[in-house]
Amino acid sequence: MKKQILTNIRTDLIFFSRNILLMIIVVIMVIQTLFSIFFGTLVSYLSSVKFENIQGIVYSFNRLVYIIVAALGIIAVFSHNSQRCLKMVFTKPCLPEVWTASLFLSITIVAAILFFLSFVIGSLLFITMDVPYQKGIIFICLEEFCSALIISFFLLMLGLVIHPVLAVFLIFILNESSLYYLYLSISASLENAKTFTQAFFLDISKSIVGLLYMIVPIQNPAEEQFSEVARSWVVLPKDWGFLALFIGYTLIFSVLAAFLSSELLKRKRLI
Amino acid sequence: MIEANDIWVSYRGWKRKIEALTGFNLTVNQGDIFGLLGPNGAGKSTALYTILGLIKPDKGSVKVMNQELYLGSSLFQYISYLPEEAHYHLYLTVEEAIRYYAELYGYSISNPEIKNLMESFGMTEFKRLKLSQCSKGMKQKVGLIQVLLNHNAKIMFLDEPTRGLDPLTTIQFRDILLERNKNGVTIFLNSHILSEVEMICNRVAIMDKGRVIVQDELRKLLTGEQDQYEVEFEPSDAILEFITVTERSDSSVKGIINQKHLNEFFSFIQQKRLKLYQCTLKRTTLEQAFANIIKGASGEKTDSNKYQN
Repeated sequence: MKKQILTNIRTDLIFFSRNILLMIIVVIMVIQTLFSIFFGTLVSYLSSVKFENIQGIVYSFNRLVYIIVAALGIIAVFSHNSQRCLKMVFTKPCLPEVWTASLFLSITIVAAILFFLSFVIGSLLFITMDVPYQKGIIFICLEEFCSALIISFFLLMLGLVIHPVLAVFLIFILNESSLYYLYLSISASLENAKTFTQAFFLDISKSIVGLLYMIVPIQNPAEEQFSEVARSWVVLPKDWGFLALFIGYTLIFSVLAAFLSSELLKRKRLI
Repeated sequence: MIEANDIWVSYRGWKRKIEALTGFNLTVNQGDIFGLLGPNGAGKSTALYTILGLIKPDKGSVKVMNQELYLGSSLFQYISYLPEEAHYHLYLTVEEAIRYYAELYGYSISNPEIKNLMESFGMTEFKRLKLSQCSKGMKQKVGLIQVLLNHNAKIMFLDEPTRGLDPLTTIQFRDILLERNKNGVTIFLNSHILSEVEMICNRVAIMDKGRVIVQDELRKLLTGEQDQYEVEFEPSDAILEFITVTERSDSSVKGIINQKHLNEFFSFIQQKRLKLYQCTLKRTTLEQAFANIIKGASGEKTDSNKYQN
């Protein structure tokens, strides 16, 4: 099994490196990021807001990596589905669980490399711009790494059930913040409901939205604490605790998502 | 080796349900070279997917080597499969794909082995070419190579194996199959090329409308009319009543006679001092047998029926 996982990971990494759609996303995002890095560096030499510029550059790079990582899973699933080549894998003694686990690990490897690169770029900027080093960069990169994995795995799962375009569209609707605000607005409307029918439907809607809110994965846990770190890059001991919990959550979610994905894969007609 | 009992498979379309297999039964014995035949849409590929566990039947059971196959089952280490279409990992190069498929079987394929396999199928110069850039025939060769990679194979499932291949490679692959079969490998062939099936299969099943309508030894299927002889001789005023004349010209008479009248026929030729041009055992080709069976199943008047009438 170990050998099969390694083989699949190698093949997935080849796939990521040769996928045209991914390349297009990378090229566009890299150009955008290079611009922000170039202008950020220029501004920092001309002004005294060097720290904010390092923050800006790292955020831009992290955003780029986040989008790439988010796209990896769904593109892999879509491409293998449309090439109908998975039957070549599963008519060999290679279980769907092994293939799925390998894909999840491949995405994790790519995400880890890219976020580590972001961390290295940020750290080098601290040195070259002669700014006191802030540990917050490690925190930010780790937090973004977990968020990117969660969104990527969630999209991958959705991509096994519905068309990828629909999956991406759903992600925009079915995210924790939009559902939270929807839940609040339904709750407010429910309080002001004038008729029984209105109240009945709003109550049902509130329950559905509440349920969806519970189901969708968390991307920004402890938003208040994390936003404080994101602003100052100063990390207090309790913040590390929150981050550790978030890493634990990501791990549990990843295992669950991998299990569900392999079950969904088994139910697909791979012909 | 393969046992399929009363398999029902349906596809749900947008508006209607399509019944792909309707009570499919099949038995393949160990050491067989088995050909599954049928017109387009008969359900051959669905049957193959169901046997391989890629489709779960609505009803019925399939067993391969006394076990039900499922995705990635450990039993696949004894199975090689060639898909009908080139559904391979198109982003890989020829060499990478071969290595990948070998490693999924758990083999560490050595460079000389890859080189030998690619050389034998004339693929060496294309080893760095991505499968997406390969021609149909080249992809088919990659498929054949990955089938032959599995040294533990006890059954080979081949869906249209010679599709897109040049004649020389077809002959070469056919020889390899016969060689593997001699070593005990059971071969399950899904093909439209009846001459190919006739050449290598020992047992066949003919499918129509989702079920097997005939399943027998190929020899028996082709010897249905073997007690008849085709004769051609010099015209004579009197023709014996047991000769069914099929063609008559000024120079010759062609006809069919039953084996039991053969001696009587020779005496007649000798007695009349006629010239005998031809007397051959009447052979039914698989193509004729196939057409007769399919037409017979759909209630049409067959050529042989017309002929006898």
